[in-house]
Amino acid sequence: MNTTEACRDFTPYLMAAPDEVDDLAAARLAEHIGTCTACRAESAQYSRLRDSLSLAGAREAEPPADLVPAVLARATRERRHVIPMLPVPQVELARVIQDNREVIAQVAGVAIVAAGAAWALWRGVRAYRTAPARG
Amino acid sequence: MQITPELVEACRRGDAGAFERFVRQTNRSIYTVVLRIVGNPDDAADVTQDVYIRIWRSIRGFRGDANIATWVHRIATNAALTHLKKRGRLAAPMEEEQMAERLATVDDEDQRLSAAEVERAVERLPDAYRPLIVLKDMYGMTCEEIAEQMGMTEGAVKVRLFRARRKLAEDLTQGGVVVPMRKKKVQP
Ligand SMILES: [Zn+2]
Repeated sequence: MNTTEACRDFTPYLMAAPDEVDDLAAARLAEHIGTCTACRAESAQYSRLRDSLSLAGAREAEPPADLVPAVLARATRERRHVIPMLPVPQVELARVIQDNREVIAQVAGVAIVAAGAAWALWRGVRAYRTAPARG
Repeated sequence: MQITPELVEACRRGDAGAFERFVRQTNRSIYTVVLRIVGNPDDAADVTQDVYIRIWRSIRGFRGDANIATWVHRIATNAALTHLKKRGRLAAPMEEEQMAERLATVDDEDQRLSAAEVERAVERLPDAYRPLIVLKDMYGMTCEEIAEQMGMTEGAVKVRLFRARRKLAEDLTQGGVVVPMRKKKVQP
């Protein structure tokens, strides 16, 4: 029996992880591996390679020292340019009020004066309209 | 990646101090996955910054019942893959290399591959192959998840994964990390 010829069909499965192979292919592969020492060894080798990759995946790289300061600086710029969306975070709202309390006080003062003037005008118009017609 | 629900909630409220703690706790793992996919430290630092801006902008919409680590990992891998796509480096190589001499076979079960050597070999993979190995074999994602993130069919992911592993094994064999080549015997 020419094992090389048969083995070629199994090559993709030898390196696949168990979850990548359907049940039928897995059964065929198990049968072949049971009789073919070359494919058994190759399958074991790929299995070790996947284990090594999984171990390597658990290691962490060291980010450059300026990464965190750069991220925080960008986040700060982002906060200044983005109008907080509703619901406005309480912390953010408190900070905005604190930072802009003079402007808010001026705007509030103008608003009160404007509201007072509008009310006075409305009363005047109403008094004029409801006054009995002079003959 | 250890992120408490309280920290996530504070970030969702827009608490800048909480976001800083979040960045300090997660930057190593985010930078690592981005670096592994994009393959060079300068690009990885830029992409990691973009990842945090995306997180900052969208964390208010994060559902409290979802897994924050999975969500963050997904944003990071998306950003890294988008970076490779923009550079046009995610397409499959025009020509697949000839089926090289088949892998050496070993009977020695104790043969160990050094994690550092393996990681360096992953770094040397072409951009079209590296993300597949990183996401599947290093981070344990399923082919279905990878297919969705990379905009490929599951079958295409499996085919490219096969080529990527073969390339990786060849590289390791040439580097002498895997035991020396031995011709496969044709059994009688
Ligand atoms: Zn065989």
